[in-house]
Amino acid sequence: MAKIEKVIKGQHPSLLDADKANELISMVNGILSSRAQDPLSLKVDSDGTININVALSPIEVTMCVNGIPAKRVIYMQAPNEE
Amino acid sequence: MPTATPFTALGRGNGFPFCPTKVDVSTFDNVRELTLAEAMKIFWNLYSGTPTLSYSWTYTSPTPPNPESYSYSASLNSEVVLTPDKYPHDRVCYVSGISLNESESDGTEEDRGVFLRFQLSTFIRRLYNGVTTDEDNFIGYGAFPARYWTELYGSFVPFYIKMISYGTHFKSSDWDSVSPVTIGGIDLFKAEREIGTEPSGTDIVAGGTESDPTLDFYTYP
Repeated sequence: MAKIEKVIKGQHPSLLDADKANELISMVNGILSSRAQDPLSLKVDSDGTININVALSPIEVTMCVNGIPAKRVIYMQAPNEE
Repeated sequence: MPTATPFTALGRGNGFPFCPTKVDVSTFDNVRELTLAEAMKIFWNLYSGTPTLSYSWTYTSPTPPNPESYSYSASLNSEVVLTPDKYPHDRVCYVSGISLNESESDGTEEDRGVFLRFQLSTFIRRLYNGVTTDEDNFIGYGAFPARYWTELYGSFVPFYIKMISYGTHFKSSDWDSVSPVTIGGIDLFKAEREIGTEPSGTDIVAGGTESDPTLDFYTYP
């Protein structure tokens, strides 16, 4: 989606420019209707800030890498806790 | 009893870094399956074993013109550490298990003598009461963590062999005796078999003793 151009004082007559207003409304509605699938989640704050959370937990594991024991960090989806 | 640092291993999702060999034990009349925790204890945490094994034989020919005598003896009674300088997390790269033989002998440079062997093993099996392609037949895990092997020989040929195996599944028909035993806190079977007899006479005497080995495991803080 293309960015909405900023208005410039004295150059844009009014926000009653219907095309520009609808473009802005469509974008906001698109953001508000955004959905995320696990392990992602979206949250839009009242000020419009979009928070994207990734529900993955880092776990240090010992694994065999090319025949040598090595420590690595893997990210695992946290179990659903009710 | 050594202490190891706790760790999380990325294995095959089955408690081990490999897929254990499957064994159909439906025809075995001595089966004592292990729990997953017991099998994992053997694979990941077995640290050492201490054997108690001692045998000897002597030969004396008192008759001239060529009187001679031989005497051979060997014993195993020291702690055998499975993987010195290695810790349980290093076992993540073992594709099946670890096996270590510790031997002691007397007279091996000659054609006669005593040979003793103590074996530790962390190989794990999956036991099935029926065909191994049906997971419904799975009953638990198997292992043979310790073995003794005794060989008394003369003229390059053993005249007496004794095998003792400590494990989870045996056929009575393959052994002289099979009896329950607990070593390292794990309930197993002890299977014994002798080939030949310990000679006892005026010119040759042989014999020995053994006790069940002890097993030591890593612990975690």
